[in-house]
Amino acid sequence: MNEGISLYELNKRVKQCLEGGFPRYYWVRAEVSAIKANYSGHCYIDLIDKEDSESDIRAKGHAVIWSSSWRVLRPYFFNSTGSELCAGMQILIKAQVQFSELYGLSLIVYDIDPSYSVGEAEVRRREVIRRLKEEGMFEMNTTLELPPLPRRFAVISSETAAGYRDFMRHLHENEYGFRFYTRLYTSPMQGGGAPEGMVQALEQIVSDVESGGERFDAVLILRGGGSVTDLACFDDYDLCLNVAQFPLPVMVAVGHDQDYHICDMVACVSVKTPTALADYILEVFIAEQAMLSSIASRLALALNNKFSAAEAGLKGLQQRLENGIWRRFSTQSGRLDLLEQRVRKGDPANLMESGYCVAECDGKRVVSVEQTAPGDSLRLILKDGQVDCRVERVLEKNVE
Amino acid sequence: MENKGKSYEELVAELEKLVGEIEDPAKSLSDVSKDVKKAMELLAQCREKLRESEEQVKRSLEQ
Repeated sequence: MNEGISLYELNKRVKQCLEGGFPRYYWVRAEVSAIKANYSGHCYIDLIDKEDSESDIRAKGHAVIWSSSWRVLRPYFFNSTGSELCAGMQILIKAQVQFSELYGLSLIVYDIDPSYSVGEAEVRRREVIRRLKEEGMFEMNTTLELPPLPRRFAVISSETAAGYRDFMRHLHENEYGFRFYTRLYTSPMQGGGAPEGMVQALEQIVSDVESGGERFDAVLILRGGGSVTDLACFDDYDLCLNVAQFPLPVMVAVGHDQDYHICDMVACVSVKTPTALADYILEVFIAEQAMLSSIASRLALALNNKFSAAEAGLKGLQQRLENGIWRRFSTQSGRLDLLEQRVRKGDPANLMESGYCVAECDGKRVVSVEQTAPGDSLRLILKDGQVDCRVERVLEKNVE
Repeated sequence: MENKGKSYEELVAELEKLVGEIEDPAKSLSDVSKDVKKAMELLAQCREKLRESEEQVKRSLEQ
């Protein structure tokens, strides 16, 4: 009778065979399809492999990261990539083949290469950011304040760069007539020598300010776009450290659309293109001008109000003056009228015109009987002549 | 005329004095007649002066 061998026996042989056949560590590429860390701190990963993202799964496997490794690898991966290991991620792991009689085939993971998951540049970038933050440099330049009206700029760029020319034209030939001072500090803006060139330019600016009497409101770093690898220099640790620590506000416009560089993060101001940076600066002045003209029109309005109030006051005074004067004139002319009336009333010619006569004795007007006595000569004056007569009798009114 | 250099106020004062005399019954008729004539002249002068200064004020106000 054939007794066969136990499954355990078989698995044991498979194990010997397998582990003998794969004695070394292997770097293995795969995609995570599921991942789970259990209570004991071990991490279990289901792996799959496809030829490309569209095709069917062509291999499956199982990986384990023992808690002793997981404690180290998990923060390492996170710091380097900015994310946790998760399903859907492409990973490159250093693993050893293990076969357990009980659980079958597993890959025991000892190391992981984060740059495979996010690209090498990203890992370096993250490392630079981490370092700058750790050193307390990361936000230094961003806390500087741009002067309210920045107009003197040190420009780090390359004379031949399209971005530099665009910027200069846009800034200096602005339609509003705002005037700016720019001084170019040339540096290669791409390739290996670029970070060093820009750092030297920054140092030159500092020395011109400190000993050359030069004065700047801000430093501009300009460049007109380029491929992603060209722009990698703006993630350089030395350059970013210098920008972050620079005593003047740094404004960066290195012409990128999708990518955001560390230089952008540590600089005081960052915009996408040099033209946009010129607009940014002009906007400050346009806003200021708008504010000033609104103040000017408020002032004009206030002055107008003051003037019209003063004018109204003067009008009132003039009215009072005129009224006063005309009143005086009419009083005077009334007075003259009254005097005329009195003259006319006192003129004896008027009386004689209505039939009365005036008596005179020795050239004096006789107004009382007491002025005459019988025998006196009297002259009666009438409107058309005079009558000389003698007094015969004098009768007093009350003596009857 | 003898009143040329006199002010309006002086002329009016003179006129008032004259009117007082005209109203005085003791004065002889011929004196009174002379006074009346003189008073009427003074009145005309006063009116002229008043009109003149009125014109002047009007011109000043229009400036």
